Amino acid sequence: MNRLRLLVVSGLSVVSMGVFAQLPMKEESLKNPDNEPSPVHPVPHPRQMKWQQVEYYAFFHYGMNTYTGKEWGYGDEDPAIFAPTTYPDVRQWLEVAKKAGMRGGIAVAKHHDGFCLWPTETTSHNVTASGNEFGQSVNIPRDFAKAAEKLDMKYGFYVSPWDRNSVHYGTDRYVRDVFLRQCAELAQYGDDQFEMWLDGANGGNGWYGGRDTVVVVDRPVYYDIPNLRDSIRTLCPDCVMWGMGGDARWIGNEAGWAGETNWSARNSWGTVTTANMYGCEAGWTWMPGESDAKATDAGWFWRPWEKPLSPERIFRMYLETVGRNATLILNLPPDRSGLIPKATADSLIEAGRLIRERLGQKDYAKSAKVKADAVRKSGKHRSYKAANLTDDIYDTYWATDDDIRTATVEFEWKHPKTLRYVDIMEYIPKGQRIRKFHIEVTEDGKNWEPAAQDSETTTIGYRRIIPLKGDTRAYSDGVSARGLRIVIEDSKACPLISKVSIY
Amino acid sequence: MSLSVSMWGQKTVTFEDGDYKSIGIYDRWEDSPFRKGKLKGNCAVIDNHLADSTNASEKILAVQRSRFGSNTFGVRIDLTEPFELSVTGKDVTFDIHRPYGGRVMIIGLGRRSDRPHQSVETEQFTLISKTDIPADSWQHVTIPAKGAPGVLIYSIVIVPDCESPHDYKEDKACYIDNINQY
Repeated sequence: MNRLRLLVVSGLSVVSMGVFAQLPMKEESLKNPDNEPSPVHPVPHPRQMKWQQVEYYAFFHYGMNTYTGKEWGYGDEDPAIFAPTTYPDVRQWLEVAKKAGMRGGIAVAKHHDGFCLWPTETTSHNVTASGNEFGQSVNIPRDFAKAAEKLDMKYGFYVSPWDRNSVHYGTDRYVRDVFLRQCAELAQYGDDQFEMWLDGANGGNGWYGGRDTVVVVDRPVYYDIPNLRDSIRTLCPDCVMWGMGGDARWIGNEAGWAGETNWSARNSWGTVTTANMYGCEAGWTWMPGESDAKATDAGWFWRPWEKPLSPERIFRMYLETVGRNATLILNLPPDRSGLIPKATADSLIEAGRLIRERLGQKDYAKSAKVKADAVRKSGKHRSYKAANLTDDIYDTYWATDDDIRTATVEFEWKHPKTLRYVDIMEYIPKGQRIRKFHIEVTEDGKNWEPAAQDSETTTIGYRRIIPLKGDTRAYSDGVSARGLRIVIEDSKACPLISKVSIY
Repeated sequence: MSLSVSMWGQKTVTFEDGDYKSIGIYDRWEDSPFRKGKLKGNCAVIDNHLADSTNASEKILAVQRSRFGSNTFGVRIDLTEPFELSVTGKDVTFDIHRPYGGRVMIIGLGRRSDRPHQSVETEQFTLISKTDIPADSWQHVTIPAKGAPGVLIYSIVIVPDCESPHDYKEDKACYIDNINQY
């Protein structure tokens, strides 16, 4: 017994000291000079945090299907069909995205048809066999990475695990000698890639080098995802591997919306319609949702008859994705000249103007007197005061003490303002916490009334944008208020809010 | 030195006769104080003071579930020799006795056999029990694990409590025994 006490007091690990009758408990503590709240697990990896902060970015579906008119090529397409009428200008793609307020883009490098848009060593079914000089000389990943660097935008690539062209698909040789090598080749176009898109659609019929058969695979096992992740992380440490990669999940639809209740946590199983659209409050792993949607009314690949969605429709998508704790990857298909069509570009850029004006130009939270009915005790170098909500520094946040899970923050102005949206960001590096809240406003400073009643005010997460009157479908005439409250009704632990903006 | 690869078919890690290489603490959370060296953790092989008809073995593995760890904090058992995962799946089973209800998890650490320079600590699978495991008695847990051909597992991590510990006021001991793959 004395020997045990000595071991515990001296802090020695008991592992090497032999077998004990019971486990001597070791007293360990962590210094917390800044009185920081404990994390509510799961929490995001730093790469997932950086990814989330990109928020809104473009998808560029360009490839063999642009010239065949298919959405899913069978894999038997003659490479000579790929014949751009000009040298594809990927810089123009990203310039359009940037003008639209997007912060990055993902370019398709290989779709299900297996045609590679770079001179890969893994298959002859690539651009070098294209139908003209423009196609033969293009290298989409190389050009895309360079353009993104020049424009200071995030970038990454879509590479389809499913390959309907490859004769080896379905065998270990495909994974070892084709797919993993293709991913490694793409990773070498830049170690600062922010996302690799691994489409979950796969298996089924295809050309497969002439086999012309059906191949079904057990995806996570067949593609050896854990070791693919390890390879890519070695080359691109901040690359989020979407979909089958397990770092971010498909939001569960291609219509451009996320659930109003949307947890970033998920379990690694669950039906697509529930766990993907809404996440799982008790999910064990951090797997935030990404909404992939089209900015045009036809397919993922360009069609001659397609029309772009209206700027208002895109603005609504933004509210229902970025404004619901998801990211939005919006597809802009280049046409056969390798350019984004003018009509699509114009609509996107106008939508970007709406986003900037309605959610960026006049933030009334900054001019408000802000207070909270509960504030966490400050630490040595950190305070949790309500003023942190409007300082534009993400890493400062308002918080309550550990035992307080309901609270109210209040914004007050001398004169009434016309308010349309409240935009709230939880401090998610310590986990997503808030389960339910509501909004109240006052016009006279005395009588408070509920607002945002057409919204489900449940979760917040990285970002939640709430229309104060009506819903996301129309830009309302707003509410007149000289006071606004965010009332947190329920939270997994003490709530932490990094930022509030009021437009 | 060449490594022999075993294909488990019988009970392999019982903690009775040194049928494991080493034990230690593991946390998947990259900012864990156990990864940053701020805390050491606590685990040991001890006498089975909880012996009953479900588990009458002499020795068991004990781990102090730290409230400072994450929901993927656990004990790591380094195997005497690696085993190869199966594409069709094998059940990993173990006995657990802990003061918590809720989910448990296993993590397999290893590498591809054709990547000799890859770290043997690369996570090859992370699997959680689909149902809650009752507290305060020996429970037999079965979790199917599978992987691509040529994936070798060198260590198994058992996470005795796969829930967020943010409300925990104290650490508690959890016990593990009889780790098998069938």
